[in-house]
Amino acid sequence: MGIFEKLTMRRYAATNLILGAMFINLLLFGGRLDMGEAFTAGLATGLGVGWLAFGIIGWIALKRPGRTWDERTATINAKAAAISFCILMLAASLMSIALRSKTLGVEWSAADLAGMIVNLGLASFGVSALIIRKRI
Amino acid sequence: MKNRVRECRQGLGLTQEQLAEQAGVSRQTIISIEGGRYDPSLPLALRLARLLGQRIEDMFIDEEE
Repeated sequence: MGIFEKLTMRRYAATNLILGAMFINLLLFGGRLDMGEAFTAGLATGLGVGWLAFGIIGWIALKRPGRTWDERTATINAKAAAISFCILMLAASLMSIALRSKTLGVEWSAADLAGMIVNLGLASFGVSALIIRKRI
Repeated sequence: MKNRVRECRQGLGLTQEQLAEQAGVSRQTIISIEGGRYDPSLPLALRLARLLGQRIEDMFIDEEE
């Protein structure tokens, strides 16, 4: 996220180019990976929204430095990342017990587990950031 | 930590938006500092003191003192 702090037009253009290439590649070749139509569509939507958000926030950061990213934002993100990490570690440790237990009989595939980790990480970071933003 | 940012800013007739623009931070950051919810870093505190024509020790007061 610190990318917004030292964003230059060249970095902005390069990042947009990379995100754009990833998005277009996913649209063109995503189907060939055979990940399932819904998953591919979800991934493309996420990547597209991320690209759009970077485009808008990055443009504002270039035109009005300090408006989208300053030390308070950095503090909020650092705290939210720390909380999210703790939640993820707790969930991972509980899941490692649950998945090994024959009594509980939880049968998750590696894809389910990876998806759960990503979603939990994003959700816990987002919720933590919102709460901290209200407090400071 | 207590601070006199609001008092000094109003004394100079600056809006929060103008001070934020000059200090290179968001208006929300100025609101949080004035409300005492966020303690700025040393570089930002020095910048605010300089912009408001004050010494840093007159602007930010440790509540324990």
